[in-house]
Amino acid sequence: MSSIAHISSESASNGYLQPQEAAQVSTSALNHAEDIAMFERFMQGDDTAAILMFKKFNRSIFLYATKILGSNEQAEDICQEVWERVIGLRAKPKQLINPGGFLFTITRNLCFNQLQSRKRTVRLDTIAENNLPSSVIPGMTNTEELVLSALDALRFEDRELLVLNMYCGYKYDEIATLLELSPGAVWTRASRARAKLREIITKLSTPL
Amino acid sequence: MNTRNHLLLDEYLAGKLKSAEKKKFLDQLETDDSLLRLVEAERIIKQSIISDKEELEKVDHSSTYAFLLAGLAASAAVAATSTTAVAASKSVSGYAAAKSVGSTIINIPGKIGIWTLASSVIASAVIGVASYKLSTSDPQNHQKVTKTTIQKHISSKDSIAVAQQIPSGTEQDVPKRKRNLRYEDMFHDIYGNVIEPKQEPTEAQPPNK
Repeated sequence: MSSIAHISSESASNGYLQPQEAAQVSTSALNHAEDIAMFERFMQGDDTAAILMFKKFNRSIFLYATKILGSNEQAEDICQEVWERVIGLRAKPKQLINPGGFLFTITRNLCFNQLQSRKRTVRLDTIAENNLPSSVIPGMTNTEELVLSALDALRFEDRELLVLNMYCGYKYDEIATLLELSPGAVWTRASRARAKLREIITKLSTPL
Repeated sequence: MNTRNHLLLDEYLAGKLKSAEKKKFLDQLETDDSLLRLVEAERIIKQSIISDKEELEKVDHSSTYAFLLAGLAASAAVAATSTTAVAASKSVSGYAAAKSVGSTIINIPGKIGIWTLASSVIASAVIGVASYKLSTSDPQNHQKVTKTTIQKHISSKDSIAVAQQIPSGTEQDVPKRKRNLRYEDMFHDIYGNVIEPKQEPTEAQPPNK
């Protein structure tokens, strides 16, 4: 626990990397060799490695879940569930060749389950909020509201591509690694998704 | 939807266009309204994402971080417990062996098997000792024991008869009453007249006088 205390005392405020810790973590979004080594250290019981993984991936996981689910609280719950599952892997050790992709896959599945459960159970008090997005997230500007509405209008696969690219900051080749697709396929899909998004925004922003 | 314009815009934003193609694109932008609308939409998207990300950066993840730390501590505790459990299971292997023997012999599982086995062994030993004593005891000792029992029985009958000869009635009650008065006096000696004044003994008079 001393290793946990060493790092947590410096960055417990927001859970993100402090400047002195940033040197320990690669600036690249997906550095496989480093991620694999970090994950192996975590599996062997090194809690510091778990904290470094958290600092590297938690922000992306949260942004992805927030934009897919449209709720900060639910995204936070998803993040906690992801880390709970990762810790649970210690009981059944396994070797990963793409830890970042593995974390993203867990997040994606949890978000997908959440969306599915929403379809099954629609609460009466949420219907009005769905019709009026501005009342859902207070403080949101008209532009943000417009883009959010346009994103919601896209298919799940298109939306997640754009979220990973625009919000999480992954490049298309990195997304291809995450989703285990070819870079060309990802570029094509993303281009089409962006085109749809622009079209929707153009329609929505055009005054009647 | 003009797919070509979208693709052109994507390539421009991705930096895939050469300098001549960039110039051509910018020239087209001045004349093509549809392309201009797309660029405007892209500007809205960028502006929205930047402001949205700024807000999301402010979100506090300390609860998730604390959750992670708690989970790590719990997993370490579970690992320690499992190690202790393995050691404990090794130390109780003798007990387990006894348990299995009990279960095998009597065909009753668990602790019940052990206790049944133990109690049956003890019971058989007691029966064996008792039967051995009975077989080895002489008739004279047995007669002595019988006589003593009969004599004790007679003496108890005599004591009942003596008790019945004691006269019962007022003479027996008087000492009890005296004892009660003595307790009352003692009560007044201790507490005085705090609770109720001590009544002086008076001569018994009929209430109608």
